[in-house]
Parts: sequence; structure tokens; C-alpha cells
Amino acid sequence: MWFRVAKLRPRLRPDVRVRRHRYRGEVWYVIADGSTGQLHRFTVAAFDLIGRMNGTQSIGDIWKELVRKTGRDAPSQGEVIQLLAQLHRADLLHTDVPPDIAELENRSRKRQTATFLAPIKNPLSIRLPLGNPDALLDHLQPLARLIFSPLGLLLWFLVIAAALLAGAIHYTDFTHNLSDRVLSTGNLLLIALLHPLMKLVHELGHGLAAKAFGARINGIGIMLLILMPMPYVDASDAGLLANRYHRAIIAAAGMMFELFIAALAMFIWMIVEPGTLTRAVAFNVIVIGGASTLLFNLNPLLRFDGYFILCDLLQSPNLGTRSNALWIWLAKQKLLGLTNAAPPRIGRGEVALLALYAPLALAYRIVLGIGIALFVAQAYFVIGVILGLLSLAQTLLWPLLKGLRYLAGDPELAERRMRAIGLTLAGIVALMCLVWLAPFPHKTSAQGVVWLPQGAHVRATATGYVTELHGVPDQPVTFGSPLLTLNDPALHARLKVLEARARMLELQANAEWVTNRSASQVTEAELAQARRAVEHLREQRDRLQITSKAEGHLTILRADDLPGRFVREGDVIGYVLPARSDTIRVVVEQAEADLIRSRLRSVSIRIADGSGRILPTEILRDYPAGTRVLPSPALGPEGGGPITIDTTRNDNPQTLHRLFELDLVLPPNVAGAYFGTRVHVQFRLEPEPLGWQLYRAARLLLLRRLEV
Amino acid sequence: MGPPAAEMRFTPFPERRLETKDGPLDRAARSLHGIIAARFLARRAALRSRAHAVMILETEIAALASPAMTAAATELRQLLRGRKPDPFAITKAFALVREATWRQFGFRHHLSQLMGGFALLDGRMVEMATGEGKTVTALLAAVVQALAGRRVHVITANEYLAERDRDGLAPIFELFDISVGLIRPDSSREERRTAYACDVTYCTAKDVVFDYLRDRIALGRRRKRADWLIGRAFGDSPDQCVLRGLDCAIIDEADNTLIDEAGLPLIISGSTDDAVPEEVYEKILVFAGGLDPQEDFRIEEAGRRAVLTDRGRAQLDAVAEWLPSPWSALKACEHLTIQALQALHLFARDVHYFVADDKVQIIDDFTGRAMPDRTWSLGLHQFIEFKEGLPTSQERRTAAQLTFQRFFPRYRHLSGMSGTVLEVAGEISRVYGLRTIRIPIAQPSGLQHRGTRLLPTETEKWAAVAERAAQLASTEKRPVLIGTRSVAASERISAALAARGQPHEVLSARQNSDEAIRVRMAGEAGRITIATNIAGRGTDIPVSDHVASMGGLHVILTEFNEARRIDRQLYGRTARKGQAGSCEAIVSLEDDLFRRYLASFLVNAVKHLPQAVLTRLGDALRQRAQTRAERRSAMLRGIAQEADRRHEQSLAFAGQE
Repeated sequence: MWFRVAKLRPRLRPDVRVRRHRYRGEVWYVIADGSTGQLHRFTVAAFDLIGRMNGTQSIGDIWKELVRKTGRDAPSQGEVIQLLAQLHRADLLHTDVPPDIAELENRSRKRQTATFLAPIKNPLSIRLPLGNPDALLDHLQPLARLIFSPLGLLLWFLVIAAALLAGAIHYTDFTHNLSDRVLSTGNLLLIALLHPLMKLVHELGHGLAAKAFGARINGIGIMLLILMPMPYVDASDAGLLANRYHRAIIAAAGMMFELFIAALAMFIWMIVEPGTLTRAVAFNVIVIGGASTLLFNLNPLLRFDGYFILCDLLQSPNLGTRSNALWIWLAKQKLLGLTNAAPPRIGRGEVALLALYAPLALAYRIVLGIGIALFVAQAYFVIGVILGLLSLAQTLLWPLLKGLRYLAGDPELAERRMRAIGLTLAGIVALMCLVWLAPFPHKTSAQGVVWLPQGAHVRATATGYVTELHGVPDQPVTFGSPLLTLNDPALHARLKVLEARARMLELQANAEWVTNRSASQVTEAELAQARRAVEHLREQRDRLQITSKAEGHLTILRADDLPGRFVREGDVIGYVLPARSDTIRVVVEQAEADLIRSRLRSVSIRIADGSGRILPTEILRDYPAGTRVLPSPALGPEGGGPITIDTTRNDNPQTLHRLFELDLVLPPNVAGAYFGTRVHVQFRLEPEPLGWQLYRAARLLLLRRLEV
Repeated sequence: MGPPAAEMRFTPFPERRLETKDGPLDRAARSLHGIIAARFLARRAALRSRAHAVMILETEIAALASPAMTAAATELRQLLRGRKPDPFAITKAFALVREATWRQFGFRHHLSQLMGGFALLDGRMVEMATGEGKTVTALLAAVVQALAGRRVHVITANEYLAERDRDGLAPIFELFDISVGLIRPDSSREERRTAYACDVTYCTAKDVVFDYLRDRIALGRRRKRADWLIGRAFGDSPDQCVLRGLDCAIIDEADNTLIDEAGLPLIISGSTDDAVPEEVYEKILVFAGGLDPQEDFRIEEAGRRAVLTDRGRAQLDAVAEWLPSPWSALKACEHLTIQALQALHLFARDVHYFVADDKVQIIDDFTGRAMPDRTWSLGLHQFIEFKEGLPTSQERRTAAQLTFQRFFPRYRHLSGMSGTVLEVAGEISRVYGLRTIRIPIAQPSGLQHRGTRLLPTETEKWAAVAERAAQLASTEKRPVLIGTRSVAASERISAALAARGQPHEVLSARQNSDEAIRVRMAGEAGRITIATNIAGRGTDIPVSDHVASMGGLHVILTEFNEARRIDRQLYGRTARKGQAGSCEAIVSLEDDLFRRYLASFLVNAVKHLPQAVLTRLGDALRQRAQTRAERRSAMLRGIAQEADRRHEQSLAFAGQE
């Protein structure tokens, strides 16, 4: 094909800009496309050729000259063609032949389709360009220079340091009940208002920094990140700058601006009186500009500021792409045996970085995608599910489809297609076996509390007024010893009435036995009934005397105002606490209860006493009926437990979902297992393939969402 | 006929633009459509009724005197022009051609030929059984299109056929006042221009592609008419082109041209100014000869290429030191080493090339013919010359190249014929956008297939073939045609026959000057002719009635080809036009096809079976091997097309091809 190329007299398009860079001791040339701002990086060897393309010398001559000059390491003709093709695809080449209009049109249409499809392919991040403020920002260049001068940076450091110091001093004050304050409804509104403003400042930072170091801005716009509008500024032109610290500062400038604002807000927050709107605003600015920015933007695993800063500082441009390329090359080389594939260029000491980045980023993206989908699904179920599927498609399906297309049709595979397909199938089969057949340890965990033994509760056995306390609080009592006496005057009166009536009926029956036999029989029946009623009331009367049903220390709730208090039957008045408890009560959800009943292997517990000891135990009792009442508030949200409470029922707190209770044996001789102590329980279930475990979890999630 | 008008301008010419928007789905859909259309949407009934309409005119036309026929044809010209020619005019034109054929040759087109003619006019790929008279079928379409003012290229399988058809049909064309030209491989530029200026031109595919390429080289960048005119003004455009345009082509043996040879580039070369000095070839060949076939390089047999291993590559340094400047570059050195390895290990004398007049001549894999004007490129040719101890020729640099598959779609009206094309209908549709239609046979075939004899070894095969041929030729006095796949095989069977003292003729690529006479003589009683695949295409071996009464020509196939189509072509040499004839296959398990496409354990297991069982298994084994081979070659073609397409895309910066 050389003959078609040899006579061309190409040159770079006049509007491209070229810079000489140095990465890890190697010289590279970066070329920026004048119209799109895209950057392309070329090796010295490639640029040796590119640099000679001046529109008057033919490729054939250039190549010959190059071979004469470089000798042993000269590029082959094939490589020259490849380089030209690459330049052409990047729209950097200008040749003296009339361009192939059809091909140009074809490419531009493809690009249009890609632009059109981008938001559909990745709906979690949609870019809406709004314009280019490059000229406007040019006017701000003096200001930008001032800000990013050594003096400006020093000032920045001082302010930040001062704010940090202030923050440290007021640390407890500031962080007190942080999550409540941040996530309260009123505050969320404030954040929603402040957030875009802060992000504007952020983007302004990028823009000014770019200007300060002489880079262009390629455009600004709004990015819908998980459907939330955020401003963005395209400063990719900064990549053209030769100084890597300048590039890193441009990438970091957004965060620097936000931090600066946050630092100022910190001073305001300290000065202003609590309870004012200004203070609330300042507080939120600190939260947004300080914490959230650092958490969100500094993460290098996504293509945000942190990634670019990392790339620049480590001198590994295009880290993600090149890391992927490395892995693809490895797979080709080792798995498919495509030994001819050109290895990706790796700089000095870059291997570990490149090898690590791709898998980490992929894992992070998958986890994040699922997380975002779940998050959205909580608010809008259908949209969340669709978004989740789309984001999964973006991270997994598209690459998979691309891989399939490669397997099915890439000429490169030719001879090895069968091997490649075989390997892929084997891989899929192995994965499927792993997921659906290989048993994996399966466990589920729950929380419970150390529970009292049966009879430890001192309950009112009848309804009445407490008249007398027999037992002494905090003193040991024995089994059966009297604890309390209740008085129920109405009960006594009713008993007397009934006793009298029974007496009367007895007499009447005796009298009638002689005179009227049949009437006597009726009366006898009435008498029997009356006697039973008397018996019943007597039992009730006896129950007014409360005795201990266990041995241990007596604890009376509100012992001081006990005498004269009215109690209903069943009310807990106190406890007879044994020296040690022997049960743990655990609540689990229905699906887990099913699993525990059918597939349990062993149970282990860890008592939340800080010792971290894990003890084996077993199930003592399993209550078949479900309940919506928590056995202990420690398991609810108030106590920091995992169970959600239906907040619509304020009067009588009930759990959102039906729960099942289990009693576990508390192993003897466990120190610190006081009544009500939280216990973490782990149920080890029969090992089960991961697929089934995931399927169960997903199904549970879905059913719960659909309230089935 | 007369010479073309002198004032005719040979300017850059019209041709169809190649479609660039084609996506993979388009191609898949077209392929599917081609397959379905060929099998189920043939609409033969419509063709048949059109053909009948032609036959009805028979008596009316028969009454015309020759001048009246000329006049009638001239009248039709106007009616045939334009996008939608008058259907009746076509019918009448067909009837005229039919009558003219009758007067010239003494036979009339029968129904299937007329149907074929209509299908060709519709731009179809027509499958007609071998020996059905495709030449006169093409005549119908050629005349009508020429009358319609189109410039028709009738593309034949080889120059012998082109000449035969032109000479035979010239009177008919003359009758209709249609000029007809012929391109011979040795025609001069001026002769070619004259021939292309005719209304109908008989030529081979290679000739027309080379002429096209030469035109493009001459035109340089000024390929558009307007460009060319500007060039004229500045005096840097060539005066004239040779071709007048890619208007209309009727391809005979289209499956061969459009499928089998479609991907082979036809290269025009000009010698380079910086030729590789001989010492470079020598040193590299010596170096490559010393490399270890396992440790230093691998042959990827199926891909037909050599690949250096890391160890092999590491040794390049040593040899590079000894080479002069540009070739000491490691990449160039590696490239040359690979070519040397391929010359040493992949190309065998008398299989891929033979040596004649101190020159290496490439053997066309499909026709078995020498291709004197072709050389392998990128140094391979020189390495082979060196290996054979011949003086190395100058390496010639590619100046232009093109494959059939990229050339034929440029015709504005393309149609084709073949005896065997239905199997590849999908591919024909995908690549060329042609729909395939099968025309039913008119005469029942008199071909007797005597079955397949499968022998364990090659030696036994040659003995069996010689015995069989000798027996038929000397005792039954029937002519015998033995088809082989390579020159070497031809020589072996020739030796076997000579050992028996049996006179015979060998037709092989080495001697193609008096080919026509030899082919004509192959049908004489008691004559044995050995031919490479060349005999499988289009050649009509005339058989006298006397010979036919004895059973006609007997064809012995000595080695199955990878594609069934090519076997059928060889069988198609006999029993033509309803005559009697017979064929058989005598093959061995050691044949290339079985070795390459059957599992070796299967071959080994079968080898020791008794001959009777082996004979029965023959067909099953052939089926299996050929199915695998066809699937594989279809896949390789697909890959090559895809690679070609991508390559073309990446070369977009160099302007259109």
C-alpha cells in the first residue's frame, strides 16, 4: 500500500498546536486539535516523522531521510502508514489530495450519532454544553495571574491553615450531631441552594487557573450528574501545558477555590451568633466546600479532578485508558496468544500503577453504579431500576458487547478465533459454575440483646393500687417470696356481693328442696355459677399478692412513688435479676428467619462489651409468630440498632416490617453480659453458591420495595 | 463494425462509486437476502413467459432477410435506450439474435438460454448447468445492451475463450451493426484503446483490471473529468485513457472471478529506484536458513505466514550489523527475514511456482496456469529466485493494485454467469449486490458418474489412474481427460502413463501457446489428455458423434478440490449439450484435501480398511472434508474482506483508491 502513500505531501493542519512534554524522563509531543481541543500524544520517533511533514516533501522522501538518519530503529513503512492513518482519524492531517468526501461525511455522521447516543448510553452523566467563555475569561487573566502567583498561593495556604486551626479548636462544637444537622429537611433545602453556587465557584477556579497558566477553555456547560445539574468547564486544553505542576494546579484549582471559601465560612461561623441564618449558611458552606468536595473530587478512581491531578503528578497521562490497554494487551498476549500485538508504551516505573488502576477503577465503578441505583431506587423505584440497569450496561454490557464483536469479527483473531471463543466459553462456564454451583460460606447477621430468663419480670398479676412493698429493692429475694401487695377495693366489694349472693342462693336452694323440687334445681344451677364466680374473684384477690418467680436481686422501677400507684395487669413493675442471664433475644426479618430455620449450621455471638470475643452458641427457642414490637429499644434506630421503625405511628412504635424472635443460649461464664446488652449474632448457614445468595438478596430487596 | 470514430474522446470515464456507508448489518442483511432470493424468490415463471414471447416471434423474424434484420435492429436502438427500455423491443431484439444464431450456427437459443439472457439483462448472477451454452446466452444480453448504447465488456475465463467467442460471434454482431473488440494479453496500448472503443469487448478480467489501473496511474490525481480538463489546460493530463468507462459487464465463470480470485490483488509495478542489493537477499536468506523452526520462528500454516519468536527476533541484531544502511533497520530486517522464511518454507517449486527461462513464474492456484506478468511483492519473489539459484530480478515496487472484489462493483451494470454459483449466493449478494438466479437445465444431462475410488496411498492412485485411462483409451477407444491440481501431479501421471507406453498429451501452464488446438484434439477417440484445473473452465472439448456413440469423453478427477464447485466444473467438461459422457474420481487418502481437512486419526483409521469399504466411504469422507474446507475458505474470505475494508478506511487520507 506504500504506493498510495509515498507520493502524498501531507502536513499538519495549520490550526494545531504542538508542545514538547516530558513524562518520566521521556520526551513526548502533544498536539492539540485546533477546532475540537482534543489532545494527542506522540513519541519522539513519531514526531520525528510528523515534524518533517511540511506539505512540500513527499512521505516517501521523508521516510528515506528518516531511515538514513535513524538507521537501526527507523520505523517501517507499515508503521508510517499507521501513523498517518492515526493522524487522519484525529483530523490533524492535511494532504494535497482531494479528501474522500464520502469518508469524511461518514465519519462526521458517526460522530453525530455518538454525540446523540452518549446521554442514552450513560444517563448518569449527561453533558449539555452552553458556550465558551474563553474570551470573557481572557479579561480576567491579570486577576488569575495574581491569584495563582506565589503570593496568592501563600495567602491561600495561610487562610486554609488558620481555618484548620480554628476548626480543630471548635471541633466538638462543630461536629456535634453532624449527621442530624446536615440531613434535616430544612438544611437539605439550604444545601440544594448553596451547592450549585459552590460548584460555580469551583468551575471558576478551574477557568481562572487555566487562564493564569495560559491554557484555553474549550467550553462550559451543565452536566447532569445522576440527574443533578452541575456546572462544568472543559479545560482539557490544559493538557497541552508542558509544566506538570501547572496542569495539576489547574485540575486542583476547583477544590482550592472551594476550600478557600470554606475557610472563610469557618471564620464567619465562629463569629456569628448561633441560631442565625448566616451561621447556618456558613456551616453548610464549610460542609460542602470542605468535606464533600474532598470526598467527591479527590477520588482518583473516577474521572474527576483527583484523577487528573494524579495523572499529572505521577506523569502518567491517560492513566485509565492506558491501564485498560495494558490489560487488554496482556489478555491478548497470554490468553489468545496474539504475540504480534504491539505492547502499550509503559514509562519507567509505571507498570505497577497501570496494572493496579484498571481493576480498582472497575470494581469501584461497579460498586458505585449499584450504590447510585439503589439510592435513586429508594426515591423513585422505576427510574432507579432503569438507571441501575443502564449504569450496569455502561460499565459491563457495552464492554462485553465490544468483546463479543471482537470475538466474532475482528480480523486480528483470524487463526485464533476458535481458541478465543473456546477460552471465553470456558471462562463463562467456569464463572457460572463458581456462581451457581460452587458452595460459598453463607451467613447472615442480626442483633439481639441479652434477655432475662423466664420469670425475671415482675409483672402486675392483677389490676390495682400498690399498697405495700415487701421486698427491699436491690436486695436479693428468694423464689416465692412476696414482693408487693396490691389493693383493689372494687374487687373486694364485688367479692363480698357475690359471696352474699352465693350464700343466699344456697339457703334458697335448701328451702326449695322441700317445697318445690323443680325450682330448687334451677336455684342449684344458679348457685353453682355464683360459686364459680366467687372462686374466680378469689383467685384475683390472691393475685393481688405478687411473689417472686425467680431468685435474684430485686429491681423496682420508680420504687419511690410505688405505694399508691395504680397498675394494670401485665404492667412491668420491676425485675428480679438473676446473678446471670441465660438467654439472648434476637430479632430477624422474615426471609432471614426462613433461612435460619431451614439452613442453619451454627450460631456465634459477639457481645458488645468491647472484648470482641466470639462465642459459639445455639438456638434455644424459636417463636413461630411474627411481631412488630421490638423487644428492646436498643435494636431500633434510637438505640443505634438496625431495625427501622414505622415513624407514622408515634404513639405506639412498631417496626416497619414483621420480625421474628429467636432466643439463643447465652453461654455460661460470660462477663459483661448484662441485661439489655447488645449482642451481635452471626448465623452460619449451609454453604450456598453465590448466585443463589445474590438472587435471594435481590429478590428480598425488590419484594420489600414493592411492599409484597 | 469499422474502427471507432477517431474523434471519440477518451476522457476519464463514468463508473459507479463504491459504497462507503455500508455497515456490518447492511452486509449481513444483503447476504441473507441473496441466499433467500436465490432459493425462494427466483421468479422463474416471469422469465419463462418472457422467453416464450421471444419464441412466438420466431416465424415472423425468420421471414426477414439479413438486411431487414439489420434495419430492424437499428430501429430498436432508440427503443432500448434509457432507464426503462420498451419490453417488446427487448423481446424483439432477443428474437433477432436467436434467428441470427440459427443462420450462423444452425441452432436456436432454447428456453433456458433465453431465460438466462433476460436474467442477465436484469443484472443477475445466473447459474446455468455446465454445457448449457452460456456463450450464446451472454450474446443475447450483450447485443441488447450494445443496441441500447451501453459499452459492454464480456469477461471470459481466459484469453483463449475470449478469442474463440469473439471470432465465433463476430458475424452476428456485425449483422446488427455492433462493433466488437478483443483484448489479448499482448495487445498494444493502441490496440486496446481500439478494442475498448467497440460496442462490445471480449476480454479477461485481469486484462480489464490492468487496463483500468494503467489508466488510473496515467491520470494521476486528475481522475474526475473536470479535473482532467483543468489538467489539459495546464498540459499535465494524459491525452487519452484506454478504457471508455465501466458501463456494463457480463462475467462468465463469475464464481471463479468474483469469489475464488476476488481477494487476490492485481499489481502493476514499476521498478524502484532504491533496489535492495543482492548481498542483502543473500545474507538474510542464509540467516533465515539457519533459524530453528521451533525455537526461532513458527509457521502458521493455515494463515500461510511465518512468525518470528522472541528468540528469533533477538538474533536479528547479529545479521543487521552486516547489512548496508536502510536494511540494517531492525524492522526492515525482520520483515525481510520473514519473507525469506516464507520463501524457504511456504513456497514450493512446481506447486506455487515453476522455473522457466531462468525466471520464477507464479502458478495461479485456481487455473494452474503460469502468470508471467505477476511477481510476488515485498522481496518474496527475489528470495525465491535466490533460493532457486536464479539471477535476482529487480524488485518492483507496487505502483497500483486492485482486487476483483473492489473492481467489479464499479461497473454500472454488472451481471454474471456460472455453472456453479448457488453455494455462494450470499457472498455474491453481500459483496457485489447481485442476486443469484438458477436457470433450470434444458436438456437432460447424459453424464454418467462412475463413482469415487478412494485409495490409501498416492502411488496406488497414480497406478490406478494410469491403468484406467489406458484401458478406456486403448480398448474402448474413448477419449480420456485426466484433471490434476498441480503441474507436479500432471508430471507424475504423465510418467505413469509413459511407463505403460501409453501416448498422451499434457496440458499445463508451461505450454499454453498451442492450447486451443490441443483442447480441440482432446475429444478425439483414444486420446488421453492430462490437464491442470485450466481445463475446468469454459473450454468446450468437441466430441464427434462417433466418439459420443461410444460413450463420449471420460473425465477422471485425480484429486478433489477444496470447493465442490471446481470439481463440478471439471466433470462439466464432458457430456456437454446433451451428449453422452462419463466421469469418475480416483483419489487417495494422501491427497491434500484429506490431509488438511480430516482429522489425522480418522485418516489413519480408515487407511487400513479393506479396499471395498474404503470405496464406499469415499464420498462421505469427501463430503466432510469439502464441507470443512468450504466453510474455512468462506471464513478466510470474510476475514480478508473485512481486513481489506478496514485497511481501505484507514487509508482514507490518501484519497480514493
